[in-house]
Amino acid sequence: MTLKTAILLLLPLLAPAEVVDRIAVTVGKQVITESDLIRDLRVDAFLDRKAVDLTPEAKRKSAQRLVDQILILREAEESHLTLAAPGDADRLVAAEKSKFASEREYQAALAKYGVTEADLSEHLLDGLRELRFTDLRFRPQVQVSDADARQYYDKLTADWRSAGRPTIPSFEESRAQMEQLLSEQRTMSALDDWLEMTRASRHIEYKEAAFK
Amino acid sequence: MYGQRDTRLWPDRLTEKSLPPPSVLAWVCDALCLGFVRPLALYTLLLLFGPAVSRAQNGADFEGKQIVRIDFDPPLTSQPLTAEGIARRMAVHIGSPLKAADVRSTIQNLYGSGRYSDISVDAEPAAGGVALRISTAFNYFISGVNVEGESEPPNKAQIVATTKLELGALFDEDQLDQAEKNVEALLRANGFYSANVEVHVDRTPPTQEANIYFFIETGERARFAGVDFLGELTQPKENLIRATRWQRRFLFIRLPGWRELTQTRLQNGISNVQEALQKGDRLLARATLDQLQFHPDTNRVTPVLRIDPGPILQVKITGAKLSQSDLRKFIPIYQERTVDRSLLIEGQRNLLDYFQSQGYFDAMVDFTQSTPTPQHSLIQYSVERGPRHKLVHIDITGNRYFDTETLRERLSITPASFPRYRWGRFSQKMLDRDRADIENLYRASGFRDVKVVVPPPQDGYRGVPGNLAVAFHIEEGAQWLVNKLDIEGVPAADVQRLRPMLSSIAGEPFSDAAVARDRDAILSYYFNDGYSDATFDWTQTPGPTPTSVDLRYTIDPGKRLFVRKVLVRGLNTTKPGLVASRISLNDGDPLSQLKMINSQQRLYELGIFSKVQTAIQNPEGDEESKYVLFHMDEARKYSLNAGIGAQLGRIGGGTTTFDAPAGATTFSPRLSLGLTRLNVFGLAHTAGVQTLFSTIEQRVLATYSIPQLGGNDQFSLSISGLFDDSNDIRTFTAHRVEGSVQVAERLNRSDTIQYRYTYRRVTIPADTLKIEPLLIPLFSQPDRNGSVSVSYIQDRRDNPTDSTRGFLNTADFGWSGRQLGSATEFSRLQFSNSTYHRIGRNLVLARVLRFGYIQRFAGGVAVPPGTPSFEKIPLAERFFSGGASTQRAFPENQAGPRDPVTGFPLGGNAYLLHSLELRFPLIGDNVGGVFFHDMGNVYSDFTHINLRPWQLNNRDFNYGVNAFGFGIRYHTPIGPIRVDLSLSPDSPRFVGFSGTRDQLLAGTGTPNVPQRINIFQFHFSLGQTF
Repeated sequence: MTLKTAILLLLPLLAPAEVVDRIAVTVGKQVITESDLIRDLRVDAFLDRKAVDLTPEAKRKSAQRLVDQILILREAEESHLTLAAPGDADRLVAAEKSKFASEREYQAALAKYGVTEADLSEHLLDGLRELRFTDLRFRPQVQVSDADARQYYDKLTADWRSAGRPTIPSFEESRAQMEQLLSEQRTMSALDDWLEMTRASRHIEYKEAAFK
Repeated sequence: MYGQRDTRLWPDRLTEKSLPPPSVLAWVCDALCLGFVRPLALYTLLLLFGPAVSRAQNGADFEGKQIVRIDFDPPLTSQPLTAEGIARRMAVHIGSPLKAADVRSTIQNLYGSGRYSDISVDAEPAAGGVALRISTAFNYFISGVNVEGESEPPNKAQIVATTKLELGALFDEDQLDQAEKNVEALLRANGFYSANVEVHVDRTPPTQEANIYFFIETGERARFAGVDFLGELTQPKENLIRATRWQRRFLFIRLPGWRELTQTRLQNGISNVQEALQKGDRLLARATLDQLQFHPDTNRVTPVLRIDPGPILQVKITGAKLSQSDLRKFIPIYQERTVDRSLLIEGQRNLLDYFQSQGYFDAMVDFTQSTPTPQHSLIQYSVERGPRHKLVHIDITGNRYFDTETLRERLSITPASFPRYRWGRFSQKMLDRDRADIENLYRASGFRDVKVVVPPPQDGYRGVPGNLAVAFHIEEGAQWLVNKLDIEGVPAADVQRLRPMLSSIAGEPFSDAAVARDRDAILSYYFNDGYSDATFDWTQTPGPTPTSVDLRYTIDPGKRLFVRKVLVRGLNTTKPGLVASRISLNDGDPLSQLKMINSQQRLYELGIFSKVQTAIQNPEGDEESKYVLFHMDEARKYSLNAGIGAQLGRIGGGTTTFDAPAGATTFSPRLSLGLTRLNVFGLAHTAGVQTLFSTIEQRVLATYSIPQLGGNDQFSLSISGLFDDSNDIRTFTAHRVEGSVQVAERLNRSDTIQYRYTYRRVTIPADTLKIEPLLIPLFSQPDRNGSVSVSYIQDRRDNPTDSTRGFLNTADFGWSGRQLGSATEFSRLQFSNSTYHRIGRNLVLARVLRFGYIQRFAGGVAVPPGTPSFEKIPLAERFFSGGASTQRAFPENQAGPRDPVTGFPLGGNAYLLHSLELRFPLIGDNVGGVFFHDMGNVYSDFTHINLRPWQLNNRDFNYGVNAFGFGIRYHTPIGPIRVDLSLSPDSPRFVGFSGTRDQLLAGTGTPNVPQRINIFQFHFSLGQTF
């Protein structure tokens, strides 16, 4: 038994060094490390209650999301936009916690996914900030006219008819919904355009070693 | 062990997929413990499974373990950051438990310095905990872009600019490809189609510099091979080809062949064709380059120009007359080469302003645009001028704080005055601007509620129809004052230093403008002290009285930056010490932008660099100590200059006859050539040879100058040698050989002392002397003169080329002694004092007093004037004066005593001259006038100085000659062009001799011919008189 312990102690000393963290992406002077990507994927998996996907493709998607997040938060900071109130993080975590039967179950789930409550809180808060930035920055520019709503309604009803939907609501009944849907689409489109432009203007570098 | 893994922070691939199954590990351990294998086998197994086991150990197992060692790769000593800089950025520390968050922070902090391109952190087990290794890859920064092998055009600066590689910026290999392409494109645009560009990057790891070299082999420049046109030509093709100027020509003669292609020549050619097409009514005609066909076999290009003649466009004006040049000046469609409504409206406004400025203050301008035919566009401006007015009076009332004169100085409207402003200067736009200016002036002094009321101009002022008066009624209101100023955010010591710089202190007027000045002063103070991110904010709260405020300035200096090291690059021949002495930044100093700019300026002042760039390396990085870069492009070592000109004046007359002793009007062409060698020995010394050839002077001047003597830029040394043949003094021709050494000491910005030793040998051939034959043997003796002299110059003028304020004093004392190699002992004193006074807005009163005196010595004892030896001052050493810059009663060098037989000037041993000028604007802003009075003369000696304004007889030259006159000055960027006409009622009369030299020697010819300096003199030259 003593020899077994000694061997187990010796083994690590002969082991080569391991990368514990590295730069995965640089956005100007800001970095996203490999551990940032993994944490993001774990929290995502926790929120969706699905298995953690740490494949290179998943990491790259996570990196792109985090790059966008950095661009958004930097723009918000430069524009002096206030995106989160002090109690927002607690409220979001509480809402997430409420989906579990007990605190114990919640903690067990966190442990299972290898995330902490702080990771979860930060993740949710960043998401909230992105939403608010989009609302403040792009939604006011979006205009939906009656004609737009009507055109969208006509397109949808045509799809519904061809799909054989039995009842189709009138335009007046669904006008508010049409306007909201169009507004959402256009807001997201404006955000996408802005992100594309901003990405092109910033120095963003992906370090391939972190995505292997 | 597997079951106890903490997987919270570490990648799954490292924890779950890469581990060997637990059963294998257990088997190995059990086997070893049971002694089934021998030690060699144990070692083999360890080698076999070691790595796998170690992966099992990965970060998850290191979390929380004590850090026992932190290594860097490359080692700490080779890291670009200082040890302190790295320590400040480290969130992981020896002795602390390892936390993933701390590793992340360390990576972010190190990366934020801007010094690294990549960072990874490895961990390995170590006795007692975990050892970290931080592996880094470095960034490089551009420390210079160098070009070799270019052939202008394009010049070096153009090539460097097209690379878009900025000094001090982060160097990215990807930029090089684009830079190379840009250079190749630029070379192609300049005709170098077969150019070869090679890029080389020279890296300096310790300072992370990337010095980039572009080696260019240009090959032969392509030539034009004709030009093709597409589209409808409204002019003969030959005319358009001629307009390109791409064919070889010498003056107006067409030579065979075509010129070389350059970017400028191509663009100018296209513009010229467009201009040619636009002549007449084709303003919208366009010529554009459709393609540039390159013929590689002949290395020639054929531009293909697409011609669009556009519609016929006519601009007409009705109701008033306006010249075509004025029309083109006022209607901007001619400059913009396009027609749109906004340009036509701007033209309408310009026309209105013009007519108002001509006295038609009620003028109305309108325009219409029509298209009589599809290819014909007509723009018609209709003008109703109304009656003509003259602005004769401006009334300002209600002003108490500012006096009326102060306010008048700020007005752009001007009452009529002849001849400058015949109708005055007035328009509604000017009036509105003046009202706003007055209000702003008051507001800047705390009168926040000021109102300036301008009633409609009063027509028929004092009963004269057309005379206009304008009134400004000022309601000043109360003056707001600062009650209290608090400054926050900076230490008390800083507050003490800042307060004297501020305008908005307690008791001073309160205004936004004053606060803005304070903000600029404060931010400049911090920017220049290394706080490049300093910010300023201010708030105001009501003070104890209704018109007082309490101010609070909040300053955030931000992080202070220091100079880590000054890096000087780009020197090939220049000594680094010379450059270092001109850079006022030192390692460790606060990083001051002002000092960087001043250093750049001082380097330019050396005159040996064609370009001096300065930048901070890694400007985006958050490190506190920055490398400061200076990159120099050394100027070409040799420069050649050539000039051609002419002199016109009373500088001539017969050379073999004795006619015209007062000079005859002559034209003298002149040619100058010069060669300069810059930066001799790499010490900014300059050597040069300047030659001048004209009919009255031939000169070769060689100079060697050292701008910083002994490294001290207050002292300069110059050595010169002169060979000169001149007959600018009409009495003789002098052959002069001269050498001098001068040390100049610059005491401050305005005061300079010069110490000089001069030796010269002057020979006057006897056959050129036009004096009494008996004196020829004496004055044709070669003159040797060695002298030491000291000059003091005190220059406090506002503008040396056209002074309006200040003064200039010069004093010079020289001693010529036998010990110094002089044949004649004498001293020479010269003094001048010029002053310039502004009278009102437009007048300048300028005056100058000049005095000179030569004292003859014999054996070290002063010889009294009038004794024979006193007269033996060589002719070439005497004072000669008169002319455009001294005494305008005389032609050049014609003042003073004259030979009693020939009437030619003999020069004198003293002079006293005084000039007075009243300078005033005459027409518009560029033409000025001068009334002047010059008085004084050159005298035979000091005791004969006399200001008597009349001549006693025709042998009396010791009297004060007066000249009155009028001059015109046309102001140019290099100084005014000057024309003066003088009247001298008491110009000297004298007798001369009519005949040849032989007749004079033979005693024949006609003696005692009455002569007189013409009472009218005309002078033309460049620059003010003094």
